Amino acid sequence: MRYAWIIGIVLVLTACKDKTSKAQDDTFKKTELLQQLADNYILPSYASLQQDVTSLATSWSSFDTQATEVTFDSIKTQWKRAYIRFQYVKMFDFGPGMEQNLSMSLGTFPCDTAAIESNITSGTYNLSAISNYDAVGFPALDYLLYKMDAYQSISGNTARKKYVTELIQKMKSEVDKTVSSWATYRTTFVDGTSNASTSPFSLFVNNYIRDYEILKWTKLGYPLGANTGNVKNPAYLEARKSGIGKELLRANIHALQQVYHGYGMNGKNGKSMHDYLIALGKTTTATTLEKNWGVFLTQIDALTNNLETALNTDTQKMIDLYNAIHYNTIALKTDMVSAFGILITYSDNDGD
Amino acid sequence: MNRINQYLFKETSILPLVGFRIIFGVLMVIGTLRFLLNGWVDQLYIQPKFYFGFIDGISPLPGNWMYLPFNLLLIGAIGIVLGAYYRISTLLAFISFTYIEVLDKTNYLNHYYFVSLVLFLLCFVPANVYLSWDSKRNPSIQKRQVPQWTIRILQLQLGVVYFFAGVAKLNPDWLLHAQPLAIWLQAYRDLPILGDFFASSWLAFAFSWFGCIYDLTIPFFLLSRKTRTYAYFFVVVFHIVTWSLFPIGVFPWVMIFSTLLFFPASFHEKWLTKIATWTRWKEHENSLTTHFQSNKLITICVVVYVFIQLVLPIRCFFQQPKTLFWHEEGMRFSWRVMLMHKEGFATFYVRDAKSKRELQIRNENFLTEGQVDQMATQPDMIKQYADHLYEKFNDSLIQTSQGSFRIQNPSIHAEIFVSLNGRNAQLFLTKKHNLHEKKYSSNPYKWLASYNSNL
Repeated sequence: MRYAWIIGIVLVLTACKDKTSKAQDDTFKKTELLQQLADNYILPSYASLQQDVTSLATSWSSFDTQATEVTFDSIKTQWKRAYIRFQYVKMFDFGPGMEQNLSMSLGTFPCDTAAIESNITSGTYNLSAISNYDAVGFPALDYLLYKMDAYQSISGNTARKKYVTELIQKMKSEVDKTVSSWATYRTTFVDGTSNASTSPFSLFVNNYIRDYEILKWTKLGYPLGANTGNVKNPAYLEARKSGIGKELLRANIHALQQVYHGYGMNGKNGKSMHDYLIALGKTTTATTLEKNWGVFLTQIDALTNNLETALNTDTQKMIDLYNAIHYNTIALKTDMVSAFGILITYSDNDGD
Repeated sequence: MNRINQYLFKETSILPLVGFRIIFGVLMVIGTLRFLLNGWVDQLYIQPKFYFGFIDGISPLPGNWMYLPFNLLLIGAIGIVLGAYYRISTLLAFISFTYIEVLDKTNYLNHYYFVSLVLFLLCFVPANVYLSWDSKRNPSIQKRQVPQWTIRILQLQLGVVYFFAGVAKLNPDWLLHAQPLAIWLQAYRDLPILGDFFASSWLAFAFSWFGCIYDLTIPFFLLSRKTRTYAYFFVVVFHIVTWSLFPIGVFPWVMIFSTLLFFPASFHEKWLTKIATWTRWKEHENSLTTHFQSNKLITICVVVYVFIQLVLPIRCFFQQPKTLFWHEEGMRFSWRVMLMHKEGFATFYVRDAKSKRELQIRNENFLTEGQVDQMATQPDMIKQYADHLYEKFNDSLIQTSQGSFRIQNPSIHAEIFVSLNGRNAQLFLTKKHNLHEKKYSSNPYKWLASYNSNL
């Protein structure tokens, strides 16, 4: 027994010496990461989204009172701005965002054009119903504002106008509620540093990864036909009518990069997942991820502006991008999440 | 043989056994209610579209019928506490609990296996002949003494859990790298004052070594009269610390209270007398002493049970290659608790035999998040999922924007990367194998990529 202790102490000493050489930083605090994220990224981003959605609502109401090509174009501009901004917050699908189910109700694509038309024709619909998730939000507006002869079909049609009015109202009200809930949720969030699956830190990281995987599948995988034997499926492209899919894709990757590095929306940078990885001595993973964000952005920039065209002309480039994002999941999900010691399952776990 | 018989059938006070029956029953009631109230029946046994069953042909009941076994378990557990209709109650609890546990490997926990074993043993020991509903109704069954094996076998079961959990910790990851505790403890780096300490590897090493020595020695310290009280103090501290640090549910409390079984009759008399007064249970006058005849059948059964319990946990030592944590053959039913932090990224492909068209699978369409997480690192589950995908896709029509095509007799492939105990992810399974063709039993999963244990 006594010998076991002596051997133990010796081994501990040698092993610890080995550990310190890996330059770990034991003083790194997750709460600083969460504070940086909340104060300089999440809150400012939601505030901007609120502003953009409000502007969208305002420009819609001025079109509603006086329909001209000019007022119609200004709606489109506001819609596009807000839709891109949305890419920066949809990953926070927990807490207040989850209460409003913001990611799903604002961003489910492709939209169901038949459902939208039948809603408009019947005039009776519950836009909050789960069955209507693909008949609302930014993707529904992509169809309503950019379909063939959109201007003519909307300007003279009260039923259509009513649908758009209510749709934008719904979006605005959900964003408003999310913003006001975050004002109180902030404290819970920055203190939620435990590694239990329900703690804010775990929720954030798990949803971050989920957003990444959703991006991979919905923005690239489905259109490329990864699930259909590589038979391409342009109908699954995001924002197909307006053709801003590439900008949305880029914004989504850019958002993930910003959050990974702890860059603030307001220019103030701080503690991040990247820093946490380095504090844990996982420098290889950290460098890989840092490099890959840049690679993805370059790959996206190299694509033809319209993704539907790119799907045909730049197929290989898109497949390469898809594969690069796919294999980066190893560093992001397997290596990073396991280094953080985050648990995924909600029930008991005895680590086996 | 004679000495074994003498040992097993020596008469001893029933009180520790009665105390254990009541305590374990109460914990079962609490555990079952907790499971029901947390909504886990729905989440784990109703929502999933597919189950990783242990036994072919045993699958969940449809929809809300899954609440039935949980309610039967609850009734059985209450019966155990009261000692009412004891044989039926124990059998009911054992069968419903074990049925639930074999439904899905995703939810396998060593402590559920432990509960199953204890319920099994309770079916055979006469824990209801004293201080129970049965013995109140029918005083003639009352006995103040039981043959020693009825208590020793439960003590052995508890000892086995600890001892082999300790043996399992005798590995380089645990002792030389303090893994996976280092990963789990650093997550507490934000604690006030103690945070930096939790983030340092010192604490992880201290915990690892203490835990290993504790598990290996505690059964013996509990057995010895001299050390028992001190040992129990360590039991309480150890389990409360693990309970507060890790999400292991009711298990710490099960162990804290179950180990009271090691205490003598004099200890249990104090609290059981109060319960007897409170429930107005009266001792029958001529119930007191008995002499037990040895019974060959019981002796053989006990010896076989003990043999199985001693061999099962070390079965992995008899196989090649010695990379248990990687292939996990021999991992379950051997008290390997809190030993691995394993994270996997598994991508499955369904490839049509003739046209060679390939579909990449989005796991979330077929499995729950918890199932994906467990499946991605466990070979037998990977194989089960591959077979499930074969069933799903064989002779199915795939709709595309340019018409549809049919999948016939597809091959199923997977590319999997796994990170184990803080190492960076390594290739776990290459895409080249057709998993549907591979034999499930090929020990130990020759189709897995080999493992590099360098940290």
